[in-house]
Amino acid sequence: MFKGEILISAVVFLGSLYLYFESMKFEGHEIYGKLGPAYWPKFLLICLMVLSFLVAVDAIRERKKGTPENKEESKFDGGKVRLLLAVGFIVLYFFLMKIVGFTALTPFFLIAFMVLLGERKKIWMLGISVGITALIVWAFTKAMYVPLPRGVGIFLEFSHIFY
Amino acid sequence: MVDVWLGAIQSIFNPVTLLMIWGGVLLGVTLGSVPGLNSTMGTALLIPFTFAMTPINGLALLSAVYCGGTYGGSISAILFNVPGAPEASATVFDGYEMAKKGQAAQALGYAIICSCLGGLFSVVVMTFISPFLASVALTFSQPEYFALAITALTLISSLGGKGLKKATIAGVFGLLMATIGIDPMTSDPRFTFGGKALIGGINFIPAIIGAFAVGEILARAESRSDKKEVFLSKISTKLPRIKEIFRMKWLVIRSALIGTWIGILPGVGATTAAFVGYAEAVRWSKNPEKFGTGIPEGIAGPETANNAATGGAMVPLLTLGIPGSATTAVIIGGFLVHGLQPGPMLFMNQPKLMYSIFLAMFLANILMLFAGLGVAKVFSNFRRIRYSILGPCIFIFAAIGSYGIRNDPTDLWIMFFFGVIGYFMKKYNYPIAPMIIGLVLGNLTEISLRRGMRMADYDLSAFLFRPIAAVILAIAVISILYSLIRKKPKVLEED
Repeated sequence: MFKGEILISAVVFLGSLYLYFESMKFEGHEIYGKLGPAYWPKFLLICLMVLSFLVAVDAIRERKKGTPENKEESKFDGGKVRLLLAVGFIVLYFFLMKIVGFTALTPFFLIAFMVLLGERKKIWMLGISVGITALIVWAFTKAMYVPLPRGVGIFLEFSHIFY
Repeated sequence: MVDVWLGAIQSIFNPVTLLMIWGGVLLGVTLGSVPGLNSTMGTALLIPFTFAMTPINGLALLSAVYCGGTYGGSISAILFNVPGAPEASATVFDGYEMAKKGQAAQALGYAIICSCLGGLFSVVVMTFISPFLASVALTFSQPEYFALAITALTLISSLGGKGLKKATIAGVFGLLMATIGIDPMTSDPRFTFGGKALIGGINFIPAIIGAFAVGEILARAESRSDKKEVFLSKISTKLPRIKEIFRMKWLVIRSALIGTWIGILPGVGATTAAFVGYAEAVRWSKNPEKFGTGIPEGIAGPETANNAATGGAMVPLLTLGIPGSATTAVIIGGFLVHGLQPGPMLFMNQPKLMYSIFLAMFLANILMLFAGLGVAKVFSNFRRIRYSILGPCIFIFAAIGSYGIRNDPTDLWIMFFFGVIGYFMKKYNYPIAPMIIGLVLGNLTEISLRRGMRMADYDLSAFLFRPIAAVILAIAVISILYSLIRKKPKVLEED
């Protein structure tokens, strides 16, 4: 927990410092030199830097007090693998959405995610993943006219079957 | 006047109009409860159909969709941690926590009753003092908006509990995220890193959905524990008893007043009303530390306020022709297709139509109770499904809900980014609510400060010489001091 707290404080501090320098780039249009586009973000970034420093100090104080640390946090167990896989699935799903399209990709993503969360009943997985995809495609494209990503090439043709 | 009212009653209490109101409420509640669909979209799609109807039927239908949609969002917020509509964002804080404790039925009951009460209150206000309120609302200027935003932001000091610094970091982070995109005053791109993806800024709906729903799904993927004892129990909405509502009478009245007033202010809307309603519920509570842990007061505050804002938003529309929210802006189209121009002349030329709309909204808020019970029952059944099935389905609805707002894939990545942030915030005890409050109120705070300062020739003290702004700011300062003083004895006890 301690390492995590310090790491988060460091990320917030360094991220804010980087963004502070970034905000210097949009100081072109101040009105009378006051309250330009950089004023408010700079104020917030300074607040974030000060606060992250104070949180880190608190974490160090807690550690010195001898608050027991949760050792399990640092273990790289099955949970962490599942977490990373979940993140990977989501990134892949969003990345492939443009290419494969919503209709063709979603059932596979749903099945993969269900397996990851421990589902074993194949009929349920297949039925729900196809059913939910069909429901969303119908509700969004037919009833509400919200265009869903179609994909490219053969996937584009495939999506034309449904909407 | 009596003639006008009798005419309005005659217009509304006929089978076709009643069917329109009932259908509108049912459609609104259903649309509101599905992430990605909302009442604004519903009213926009219905406008062409209203062309074939009488003006009263058409406008009654659109008003009913508006009322129902504002409540509907709370159903998925409570059951699945995904606000179905932006207005229900603040309901997530305590609604889902109650559901996790096995009190989803009670949470749904409080949401529907308070929505109904808030809506009815605002319709009554709208009916009797519309023109007066509209003229007062127009005196609200940038310093007053800034004071209002700052007062709502002081809620962070109450929500922080023992981790005030972490809560403040979360709140400031939310405010910072709201600065991303084109600067509304100078059109400078800010934190867009030379790309086009972030030019439109961070929409708070994908952020909220990400922080709450995706963060929860990631945490569940890590722990992979199916808490069947809660999810497999049958849920049907349990309406609170009269004495339970009476216990919260001041909270409900306060939230209804806040919601109505914020609804009247052009461009602010029901989402801000819900957050301010929540903020004030926390501020006036004897146990502010319990908010966010799943208590009925945390649902009553925002739900009363957001539905009260529906009536409020109709006030400037009907009296001045200025829409008070996105949906009322769309409803203007409903007037225009019938050759009507909302504004002061409409009150003089078409009084029967005006009072028919008031009456239709009043009825819609009552019928919402029944429509809400039905839709909530259907949605409740989904919570009986195992999380290994339900979790991925929630994710897909969350993704489509985020994508559907602007049809922009960037919103999917924003949702994912906030999902990861939400996961870490939960893990390291950073409260998520202040971040969302900062994100929602960020634009209003910054713009009203900068515009107000420009109005006052960059003299901050000028904010204090405007009576309304000064009073609101004084409330903010007093509430911060009060929350700090109230916390002190606890710290001493711990020492």
